[in-house]
Amino acid sequence: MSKGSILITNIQRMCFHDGPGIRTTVFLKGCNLHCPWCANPENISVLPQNYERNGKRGTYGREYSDSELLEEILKDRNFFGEEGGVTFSGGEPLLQIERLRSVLTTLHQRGISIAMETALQIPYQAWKDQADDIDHYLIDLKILKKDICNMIIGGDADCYRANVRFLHEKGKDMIFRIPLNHEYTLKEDNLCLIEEFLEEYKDVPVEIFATHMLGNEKYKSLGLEEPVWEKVTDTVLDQIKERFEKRGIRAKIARI
Amino acid sequence: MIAGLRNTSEDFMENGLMRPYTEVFSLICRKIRISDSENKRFFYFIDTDYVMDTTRGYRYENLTPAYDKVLNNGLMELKYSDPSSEFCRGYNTVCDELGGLAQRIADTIRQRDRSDVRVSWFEALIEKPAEHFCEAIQRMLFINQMFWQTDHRLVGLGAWDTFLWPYYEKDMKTGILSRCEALKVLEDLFRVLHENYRYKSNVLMGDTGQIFVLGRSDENGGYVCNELTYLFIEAMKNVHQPDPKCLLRINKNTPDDLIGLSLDSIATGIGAPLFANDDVILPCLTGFGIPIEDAVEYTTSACWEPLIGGKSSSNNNRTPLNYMRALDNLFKREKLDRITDFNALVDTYLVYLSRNLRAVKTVLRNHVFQNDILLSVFTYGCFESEKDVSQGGALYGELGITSVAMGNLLDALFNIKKFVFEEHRFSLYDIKKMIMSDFAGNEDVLDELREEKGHYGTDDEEVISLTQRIMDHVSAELAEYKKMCGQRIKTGLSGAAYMDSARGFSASFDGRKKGEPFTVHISNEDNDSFTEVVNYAAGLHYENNQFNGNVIDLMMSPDQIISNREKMVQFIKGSIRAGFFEMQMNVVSSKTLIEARKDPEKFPNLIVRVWGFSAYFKDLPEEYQEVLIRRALENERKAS
Repeated sequence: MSKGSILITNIQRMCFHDGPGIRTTVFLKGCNLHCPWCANPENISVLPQNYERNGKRGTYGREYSDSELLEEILKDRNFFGEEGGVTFSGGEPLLQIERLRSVLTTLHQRGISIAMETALQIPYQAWKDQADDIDHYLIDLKILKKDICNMIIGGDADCYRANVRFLHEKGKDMIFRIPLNHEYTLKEDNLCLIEEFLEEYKDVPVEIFATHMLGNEKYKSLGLEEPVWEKVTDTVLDQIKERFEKRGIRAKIARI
Repeated sequence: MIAGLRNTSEDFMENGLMRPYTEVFSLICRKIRISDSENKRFFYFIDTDYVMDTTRGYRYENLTPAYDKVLNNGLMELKYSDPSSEFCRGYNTVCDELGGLAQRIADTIRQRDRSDVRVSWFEALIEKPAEHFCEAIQRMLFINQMFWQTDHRLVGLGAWDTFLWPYYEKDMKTGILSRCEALKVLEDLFRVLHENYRYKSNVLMGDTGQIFVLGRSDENGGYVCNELTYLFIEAMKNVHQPDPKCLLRINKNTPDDLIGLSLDSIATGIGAPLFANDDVILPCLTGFGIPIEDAVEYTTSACWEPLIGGKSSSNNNRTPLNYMRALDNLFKREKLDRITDFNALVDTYLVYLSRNLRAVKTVLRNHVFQNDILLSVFTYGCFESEKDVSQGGALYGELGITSVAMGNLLDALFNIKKFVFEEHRFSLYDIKKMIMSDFAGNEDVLDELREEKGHYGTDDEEVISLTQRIMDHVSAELAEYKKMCGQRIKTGLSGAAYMDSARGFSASFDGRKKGEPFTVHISNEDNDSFTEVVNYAAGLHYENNQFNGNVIDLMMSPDQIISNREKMVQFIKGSIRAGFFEMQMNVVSSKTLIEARKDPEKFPNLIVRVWGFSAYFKDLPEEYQEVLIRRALENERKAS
């Protein structure tokens, strides 16, 4: 991989659901977690991967230079307006923060809003220098019990808590996004931990959504077994929303 | 009666010859059967058995008359006080006969009900200016019906929100009118104009050209709209008919709530309003030599072609230019081994395109327009110059052509570039064979071409610059016409002929089989986002003579707009900033379309957008239904 190259699986323009306004979402390849419900399995490995889909072969992951990526993002600058901009998603976008440094600085200087859709489980020491260039943090909230977090998704709950605190103290614009599934995140002890945690951050809006199987075609294309999930009904989503609200947590349901 | 068919009378002939215009016009005003409309608020009718026979030459159509002339004046005030020429005498006769008809109508209403307010409206029309909101509408409706009665087609409506504003404001102040009542009045206006739907339809049902052009810029780029601009859109949305339709002129200063209201209307599926971006269109008009004070008054010819409403007799829709024809001819006639690289292919294409354009110019040169005194009365410039529109009396009068298949051409060229000059998989002769044989034996190549991502309508610099090169070539060739014939020809990337021109047309290397339809306007079903096609359209320059309608055509599902209303407002605002020319949206789900095709009776009121108008889905020929379903399916995978 050449210096400064950024590994990207997809750049999706005119996104309405990845932060404020109209946004271009850049899907960065590579993740430090392995959530069993991941909807973007092609973004887990940090290397390009070949796939076969409906008899057609291709590669997930293409390296972009800084200027190529900037050019692609700036194509829709007229549509960003005051609120919109670019959202880096993944995978875990913070993994490539070093490679993104110059792109982030340029976008920030040009007044283009930057959002990170992150699981926030990379120690902040690794990305704090760029933290101020980022305007919005869309933060996954998954499993908070330390040992389960580590066992199921390979994450570090303490690191997560420290990162959230760090951003909150900086006064950054944040939103928590909670993927709900009966198998893991909806377990009662996890929900209790989530509630306790959110009570500390009552000023941060929360979005809940049901884990879906929209990424299953991608599992298939990589030769991986497709995960199957018990359906989380609208009633369950409504119940969770109500439960959160009773404790003063602002929750919104995102129906996918 | 089928769409477009007219019944005329033997009265208009004398010894086997057509009587002169004024005689026919007089007969019409004196003899047409007066009948009240289904709607009781306004008096509006067309006697479809007594329509002017217009077989004496090319007739004027796609125009917007100067309705405002009968607002500030009675009909008699429009006349010459001392008619010195045959034209002036004919002009006065037309005004007199209109006055006579207005009196006949007043008398007819009085016989039925002496207290009917419309008696005074029609009597005042003869000699006095209009006083009130409803009266002003009635006057403009009267002029409109006379255009239909004299066999004009695609009769535009224009800037009625501007014309009616003083009357609305006055009646609101005096308490005669409320906002709520005005909305009901406008709903009735839409209903009245929708009567005679079949008669008014041109080639396809719904193709009536009845378009209100709302909102506008001022001379300094500010935005001008009023309460009526909103009310017209609300009324159109509430009545939920395919026709008449509205176009909303917008610029970077258009209020968000007006764009939002327009999107609410579009989301109901009626396909309107269409958006026209003044920030791009006005500089094109002034660059063409139209003073800004007139340019800001532009309306459109039925669909998209900008036209100075009431001041122009421009024929903006004379004939379509098929961009694919020249490439097809190149393959049929050229010695292909002479073409050794992509640039040479494009250069040779342009040579063939010039030949096509010569044919277009010849067609236009042979068009002779008949005299049209009614249109001359209602077109500024004729009175002052004492000339009929056919003699150049109008303030503005140019010719315009539409175009078709730019998308197929570009995709074919880029596919040839890849397959022949980059990958060396085929020779140009191989391509010729495939086109001529309709891909027989090469179905695998056809499949591969169909899988290729479309180039047309993407914001790739190479695609934009090749489009511009071809457009500029056409522009320069058409500019030559003025030297030959004195008139200017405009062109654009919109056109209604994507079905008709494609019928029987050979296969093409964009992956199109013989007879399959061409691309619709500026569109791209392969794009991942709508911003891409907007950026493509915004990347093109429409100056010189290239502004004769350049509409982006988007297919969306209702949910895409309804669930994301605020972001869609931002999308439209972003499109204005990017610099699109015009944009229309077809809002319908493929599921509904498929069900409606199967069971039309279940969806009698399903409206879709075709060409530049809206129509009932059930009224469309099957091939148009197919195109809409295919495009809806392809678009539904886009981001929302």
